[in-house]
Amino acid sequence: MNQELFEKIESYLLNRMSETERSEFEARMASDASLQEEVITLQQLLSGIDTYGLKKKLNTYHIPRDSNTTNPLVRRRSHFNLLRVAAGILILFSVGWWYFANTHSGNTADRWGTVFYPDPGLPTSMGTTDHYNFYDAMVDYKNDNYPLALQKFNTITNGIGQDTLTYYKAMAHLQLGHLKEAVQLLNKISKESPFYGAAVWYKTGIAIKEGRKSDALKLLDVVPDTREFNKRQARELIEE
Amino acid sequence: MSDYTDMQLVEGFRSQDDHVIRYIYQKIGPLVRNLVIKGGGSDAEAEDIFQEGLVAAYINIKNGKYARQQAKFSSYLIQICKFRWFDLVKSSHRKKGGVMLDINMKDKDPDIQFALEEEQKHEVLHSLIDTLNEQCKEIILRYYWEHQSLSEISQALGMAPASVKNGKYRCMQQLKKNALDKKHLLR
Repeated sequence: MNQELFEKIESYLLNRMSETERSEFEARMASDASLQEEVITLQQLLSGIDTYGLKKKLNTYHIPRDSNTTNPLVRRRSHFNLLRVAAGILILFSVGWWYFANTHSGNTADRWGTVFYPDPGLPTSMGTTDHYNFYDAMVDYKNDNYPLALQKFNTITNGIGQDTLTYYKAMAHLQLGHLKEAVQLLNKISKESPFYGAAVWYKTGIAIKEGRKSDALKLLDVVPDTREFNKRQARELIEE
Repeated sequence: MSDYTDMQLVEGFRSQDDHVIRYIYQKIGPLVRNLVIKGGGSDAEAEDIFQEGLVAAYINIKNGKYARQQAKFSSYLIQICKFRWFDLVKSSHRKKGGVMLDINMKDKDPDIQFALEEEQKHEVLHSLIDTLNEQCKEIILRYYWEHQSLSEISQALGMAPASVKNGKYRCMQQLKKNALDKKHLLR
């Protein structure tokens, strides 16, 4: 890993990114498994360094045998944001979904699910209290417990990029078949957001599902031409 | 010595506040010590168990698992230490004639289990940090643990700020390499 990437991941883990940078980084992470792996590894190392420091400090204290007081030798405070990682299960899930998607390509409804397969979510790193709530909800999202994930997403007010939150709320609604709510949320994601491409992609999917062919075609034109989005298959679905 | 509310205790420990740590050692330490001594352990073992228990509790405070349970901090910490002691006795197969702890393993909370396992992984990481050279240790502890700025560190260590920055990167790459070599112990 080069130094620039290292410092980028570091600033993500130490909560030093602006809202925009954070959203961009999270979007990049969502589609880059090797980046996720690097984030998880650095997170582990940083939390290890934090407890290393803590232990160094604890070594200066002893359990009193009687009423003697212990003598702290150092006075340091650490507000280190310990980010922990619970799961690298994302890949498994992605593979699972891919498998599911590729083995269920029968009728149109199934085909729809193949083309617009669910967003697999972000890696569930259990970190600072700020992040914790989001990633806690993300665990439920990944376990297909969308009602609980939504309930939790809705209580989060900070600690995570606003677009990231809006996008995954929309994804949870979509999985629950709440198409209207999903569209409303996806509409909030602006052109500048790194989640914009994916937002338009799923709006296309919803338009197809609702039989709004011309809307779907218009939306599809806006979807970026990346491997992430299978535009050709989406077009076939619209034309059917 | 002033008393702390449970919340002050947890928040103070989370930020590694010295007063709070001292308070925890004085108020909760002796209870854990008794438990270990009664179980046939030594003073040194009591200190170790208490320290490991504290690190495990810290891990669960930081990751949010502590917040989702109901117990007071002191009970939580004692519970963790009990399980840690139980694991140690079990693993060392020793018969010291001490009073066996009245532990029902079914009561072992999965979150506590998680914290204890994580603590063991952290110990592996700590041994890897120990293998770094002194300058590396200084830089990464000052930067990531004490939150000193690059310029503060460069002054303290008499290095150019750019060397601190590059050194930090190199040291972390070294640590990462060491950790990947021990991957089996960290997963």
